[in-house]
Amino acid sequence: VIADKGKNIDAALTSFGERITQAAQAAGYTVSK
Amino acid sequence: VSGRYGTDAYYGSSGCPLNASSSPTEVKINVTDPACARVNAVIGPLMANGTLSTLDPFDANYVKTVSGGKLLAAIMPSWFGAYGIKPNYKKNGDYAVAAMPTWAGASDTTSGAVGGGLWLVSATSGNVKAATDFVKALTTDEKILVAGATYPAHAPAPPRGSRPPAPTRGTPGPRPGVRRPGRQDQPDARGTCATRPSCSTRTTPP
Repeated sequence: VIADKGKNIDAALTSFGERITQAAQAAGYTVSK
Repeated sequence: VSGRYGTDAYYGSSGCPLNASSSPTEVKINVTDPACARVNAVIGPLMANGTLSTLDPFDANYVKTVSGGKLLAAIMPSWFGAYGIKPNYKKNGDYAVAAMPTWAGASDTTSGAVGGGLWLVSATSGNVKAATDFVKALTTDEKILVAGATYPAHAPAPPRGSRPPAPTRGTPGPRPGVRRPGRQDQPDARGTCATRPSCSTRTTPP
């Protein structure tokens, strides 16, 4: 997810952050930034 | 820079809040934090030009590349020499260790990941207290820690061409799926392997 060979790593990390946020919330965590 | 190892090693060492839990029910996730952005700026170009691999260190293609002598450096846990490099890369003795590089402003050399494991006690255990006491002893008792697997992990590398030193204490690293070496893998009291077929007196600097 992070990779994309580094060509668009900012977008990849943003996407990764959205996915782990959703996963954490689904697991019952309170997520803050 | 794989999910299991490299990602947390780079972002974690920088202090990027990918999964900064503050309690059992709260977590901070902010990939726009400057501590994350500065990692992007470093590893993005390195991945784009192929300098930094995105493969898992146990991936067959990665192992093939490393065995071909194309690994310059990697962020690895202390157990990786004995249980990663030695059995997979076939380059025993070709690696040494260095202190973890630090990001600007860092006060220590935290790697962010791959340095250890987790112990859990089931709430449905028949004896939660005893199980908890056992875990506390394993993770905090100094006598146990001193004899921990693959420690000390920072012994000097042997001069090129010389025989690596005899293994220190060491049973196994925490990677799942790897057979945990036992007494049969260690030299006997005389320092030889004559009576133990799978034993080796050689070791790999992590």
